[in-house]
Amino acid sequence: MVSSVIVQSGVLNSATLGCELAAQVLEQLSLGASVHIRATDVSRVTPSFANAFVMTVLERFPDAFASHRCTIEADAWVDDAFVASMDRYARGIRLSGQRAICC
Amino acid sequence: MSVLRASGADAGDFVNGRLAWDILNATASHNRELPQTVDLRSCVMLKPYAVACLAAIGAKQKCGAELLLPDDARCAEHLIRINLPRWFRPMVLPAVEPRPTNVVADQVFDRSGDFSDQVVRSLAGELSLAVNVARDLASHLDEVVLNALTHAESPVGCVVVGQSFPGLKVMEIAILDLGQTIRGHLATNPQHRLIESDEEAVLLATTEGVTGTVGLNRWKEQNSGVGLFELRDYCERGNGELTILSGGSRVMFRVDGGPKPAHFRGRFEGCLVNIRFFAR
Repeated sequence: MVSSVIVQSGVLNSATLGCELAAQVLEQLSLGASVHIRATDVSRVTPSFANAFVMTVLERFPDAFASHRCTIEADAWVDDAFVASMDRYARGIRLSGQRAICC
Repeated sequence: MSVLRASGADAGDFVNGRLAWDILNATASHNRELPQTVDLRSCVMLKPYAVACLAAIGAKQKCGAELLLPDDARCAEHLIRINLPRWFRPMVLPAVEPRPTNVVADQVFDRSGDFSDQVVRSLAGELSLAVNVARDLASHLDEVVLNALTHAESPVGCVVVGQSFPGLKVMEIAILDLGQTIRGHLATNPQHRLIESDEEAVLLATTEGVTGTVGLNRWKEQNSGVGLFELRDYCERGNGELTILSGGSRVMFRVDGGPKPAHFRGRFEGCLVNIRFFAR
């Protein structure tokens, strides 16, 4: 299917925003489409945003980024924030809503 | 305690240990008693963390306490400039415009928006910060404010104050809440219910991936437990000094030799995060 493009800009600094972006991406991925996120006008990304976005997507589609079904176009420092979140996920770090509670 | 008299000698920071103990101790015990009068007449200088504490003391009393400004004209003017009297009984004061080196004291209750960017923009020029450093500072500030607002259950939200010291190439920012302490928050998560001390809680909270949040926080967001870790890591790589005072412990993180824990006599009912960012 034709790739859809989602444009982001400004400061991305809350988990809520990250989850909102993830929801848009997941909707497209669920339809079998690929998604391109154009974040070239994003000035900075906090770990909270990046983790909420990346980990929510990876929880449903573990290969979303590796398979390039979801691609991100951004300046290096913004891209670094997303790569760091992917690395955290690979090392077993999860969002609080994804963790198993050990009692 | 009806009167808090801050000593003139207590102007130091968390590195030299000559802290504003009178102010810290009064803030620590805010759940037991609050001063009706804050007497700063002998003060000659107050760092951002002390100003944050005083603002929180005033805020918790809904501006009903009396503030006696320093006899030292420069110190009094500085406190007016950063808006400390706002949280105390109204008094007639001269208008004093903030300087570019000041982050005027503010009480934050909701999402910080572009607050952190405003702070860093206002200070970065004074320190000639590189763009990437300013961006890092803003992101770290966002995360710490977010922690205070979503985890602490603080009755006064969180208080933020900052000051840059161009001569030292240092920016100092204090973020304070009067909530349940880091240990109190972490212990709400069954995974961390066996934490035995405030020091252990601070060290755990600054470990990657550790959060007290189970499911969603009070803003209905998920947490991942990396905000304080990232800030600690940033400081331990030589970019600053982070001190966290919470409950009976204060722990400093800096480039050399690992965390430096110290006992806080009494118990600080809340969490004070003090950061000294270095501009290189």
